[in-house]
Amino acid sequence: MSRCHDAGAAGATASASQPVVALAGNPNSGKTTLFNLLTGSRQHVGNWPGVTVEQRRGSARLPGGEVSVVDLPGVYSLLGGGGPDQTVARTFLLDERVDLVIDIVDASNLERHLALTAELVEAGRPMIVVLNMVDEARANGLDPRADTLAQALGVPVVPMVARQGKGRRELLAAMERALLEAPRGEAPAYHDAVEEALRVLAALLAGGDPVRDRFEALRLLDGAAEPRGTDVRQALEACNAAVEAATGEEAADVTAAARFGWAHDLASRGLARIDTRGFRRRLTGAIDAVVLHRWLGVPVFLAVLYLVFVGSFSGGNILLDFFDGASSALFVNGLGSVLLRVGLPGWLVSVIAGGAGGGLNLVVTFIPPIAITFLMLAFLEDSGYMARAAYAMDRLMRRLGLPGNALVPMVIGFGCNVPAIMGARVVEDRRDRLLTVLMQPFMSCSARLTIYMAFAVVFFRGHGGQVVFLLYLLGIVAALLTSLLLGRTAVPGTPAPFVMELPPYRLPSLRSVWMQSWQRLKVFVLRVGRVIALIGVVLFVLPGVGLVGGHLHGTDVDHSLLAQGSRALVPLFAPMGMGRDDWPAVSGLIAGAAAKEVVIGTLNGIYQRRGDADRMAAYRHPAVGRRLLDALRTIPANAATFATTLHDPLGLSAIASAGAAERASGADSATLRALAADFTPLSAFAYLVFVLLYVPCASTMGALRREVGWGWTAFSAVYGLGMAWGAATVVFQAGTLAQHPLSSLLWIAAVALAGAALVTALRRFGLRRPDAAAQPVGAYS
Amino acid sequence: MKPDRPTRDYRADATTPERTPLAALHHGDLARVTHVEGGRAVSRRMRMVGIRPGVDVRILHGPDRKGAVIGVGTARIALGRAVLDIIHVAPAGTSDHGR
Amino acid sequence: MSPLFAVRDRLRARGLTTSLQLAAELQLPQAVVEAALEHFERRGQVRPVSPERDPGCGSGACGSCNLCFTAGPRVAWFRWCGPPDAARGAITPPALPDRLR
Repeated sequence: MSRCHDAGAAGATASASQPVVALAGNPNSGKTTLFNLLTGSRQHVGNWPGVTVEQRRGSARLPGGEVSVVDLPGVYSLLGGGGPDQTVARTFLLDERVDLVIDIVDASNLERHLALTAELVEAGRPMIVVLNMVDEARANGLDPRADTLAQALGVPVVPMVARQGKGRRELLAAMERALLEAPRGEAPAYHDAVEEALRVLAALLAGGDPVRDRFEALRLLDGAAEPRGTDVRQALEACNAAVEAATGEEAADVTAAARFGWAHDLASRGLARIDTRGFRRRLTGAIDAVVLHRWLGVPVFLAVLYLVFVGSFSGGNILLDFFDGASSALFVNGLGSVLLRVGLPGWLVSVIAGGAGGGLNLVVTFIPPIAITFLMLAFLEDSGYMARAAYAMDRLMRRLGLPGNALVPMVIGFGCNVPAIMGARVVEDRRDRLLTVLMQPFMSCSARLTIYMAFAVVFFRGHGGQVVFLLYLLGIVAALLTSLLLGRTAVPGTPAPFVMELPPYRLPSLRSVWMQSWQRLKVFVLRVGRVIALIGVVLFVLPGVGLVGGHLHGTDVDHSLLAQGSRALVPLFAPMGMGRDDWPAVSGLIAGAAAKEVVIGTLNGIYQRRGDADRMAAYRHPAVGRRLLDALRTIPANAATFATTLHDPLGLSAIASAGAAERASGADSATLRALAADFTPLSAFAYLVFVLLYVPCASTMGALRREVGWGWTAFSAVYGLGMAWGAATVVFQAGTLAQHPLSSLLWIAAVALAGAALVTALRRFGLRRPDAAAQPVGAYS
Repeated sequence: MKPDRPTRDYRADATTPERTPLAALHHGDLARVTHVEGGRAVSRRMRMVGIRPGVDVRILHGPDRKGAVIGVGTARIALGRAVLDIIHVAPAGTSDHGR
Repeated sequence: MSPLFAVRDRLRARGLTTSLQLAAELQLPQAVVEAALEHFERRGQVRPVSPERDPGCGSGACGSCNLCFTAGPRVAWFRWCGPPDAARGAITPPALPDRLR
């Protein structure tokens, strides 16, 4: 307290007699929390003179009287390179009256925060160190030893949890004492050459305050300040040369290294390791022992996937009817009624409300299960389990000609195939990567999930989760078979050995999981919304005009261009159970080649047009309120159903109950009702199998082209179509074997024959290019 | 060295103490890496996860048919079976867990 | 050895690595490693290698899929671009303006 400058402009609110206490610390050290804790409501917010850096002052009541408290800006260093915040803090500490510095350090990040402490000690003010967040340090397995630290530092150290107000009283007592005793810390010991250089430079600066001169000299040696005047510049160059000659390192490194070493030494003395690291290690070991177990590893992985999808579907079911009912009331009936009242013509109302609104309704309906799927995938990704799953599955994958880390893109593929194909870059070996990329289109993405959901709601409601899981499984099998097939024929070779770091397990933070899922959901809804709007327009034109006698005429949907084109294709789909009247389903598939999200939207557009008449009645009497209430009532009912699915996860009881299509008559949406009329559960399943396997969306094709070139992209598209047709045909024919055994068997035999032909052709290809595996991916195109 | 992978228990083998394959160690064993076989790509991959001559490793899980999980520094690295044969180590005793 | 030089020497030996990797190898808190890297960055001897520009999968197909933001915590890589070990001592200190950056 020997240096009592004027309080100056910055000290406007403090009376000259009050001691001044400055709070200094890194950003995020809890400085502001501590400031509030000390000053309560007695604070004043302004700006530091000349800069737009917020200045906070207040007063704290110590047993011996009031003190003025100044909250300095949070900085990592006082030396240089930190902008106006740093200048403000440095100038205040060196030039203003400061009777006590409270240095707040984060105990859980002690070594990093002590770097600033080293500089504060150099500033030569009386000091107390607040060891904040000791609770977090303990949670991280570190035991802060305040006494040891205080001894080593030479200043009082007060352990605190400022957030909870813990240690406040001890701090006030320590402040009181420190104001009397003015404890100053032990500065880092620099190399003799550095000390000599500091002496020389400080003498040359001669600003009248030895502490300040030494600090400025330190800034010069650190390279944090420009020397002013030629004599200082020359002296600095000489000092730098001398330090480098003595230490073999440049002065700026030597001084910083001394502070780093000082902080490291103090931190290792001030923190004792608690054995929670050992505990964590043991816990990790224990979890790994199960999930990496030689027999349990694979079943655990399958069980986790199963839980994710059944959980998504069953959990999503609770809110599904509510979202359906409410969005239909708002976007279809409510919107239609408003538009009618505004005076729009009936046809336009039906396009907007029935087409766009109805499409929106279908997308919104599936938000709950998709959101839950996203939540669960984000949880899995954050937990550290995925790398384990890759390792656990490595042996199995290797048998199929792939390394285990090919599994990671596959799981990402459940969300969307595009990042999965890009994610295949984690697979280093070129051959392995080509196989991994070609597998991805079969991974069932979230867009396909909407289609499954719509059909599952109609045909498989009681055990929808199982059907959806089955489809996902089928996708995985198709992907693995693809890799097996290609790996043994067209691109022979052995997968590269498995090397992967296993991240530590952690309980994913709710926030991170929520943010990830929210972002995905947002993009999903936005993307689908855009496409639905576009499709709404297209679906107004195509089903509304038809070729009659060689000329285009306005016509009803059943005689439209869309119907004519789709009908022409229907015979191709006959073996998988589609009749002539199912042409809307074919239209959906055509649209789905662009984006899978629009399959249901397309079906919706067509069915809406068929059911125009009764829709208009609904627009005239929308009853939005009653419908919303009805929608709300479905939540408790579905929640009760969810409770039963918990102890009957396989949905066995539902299978025994009445026919699924019958239940669907209760479905609110006209589209779902129309689906129920056009399909049987078997043909619906065959259709879903086709949807799962045939060409992926345009974005995925684009990603494929970028990664493996046109050749393999074309192969992937043709191969996917063939797989889809074959699999759907086999599903339907096997399911109807009893009704027409001969034709069914012939169809299945034809599919088998085609498969054999494919294998032969691929093998020829592989033999013709025996060096294929050694070539870069680009060579495969 | 024969190109095909041996699968016997190396302990019965006449491997020098400096050139024991990782596959021959047991759960809990400590060792120092002395040599990593294989081409540039393999050794680059190994370096990326911190496995290079002079580094101490510890078997944390396995070795079994899948491979093994080894501790390198504070990291846990999963290695496939084939990799265990190309990493050579000097065994340095056994510990239950951790340091 | 001071953590500062430990970080430098390890990075210099590696040429290119992440702060996480350095922290694990040197058994130092990651924040300390990053502070050391910042020091050498200021001194013009370390350059951060910017992670992929895209926020998520790096596919460049942003907006066309719903799985962006999945890449998890992004990892910054650092490259040593100061003098190599053997040349040390023979190098004169860089001109002042450089170190002020």
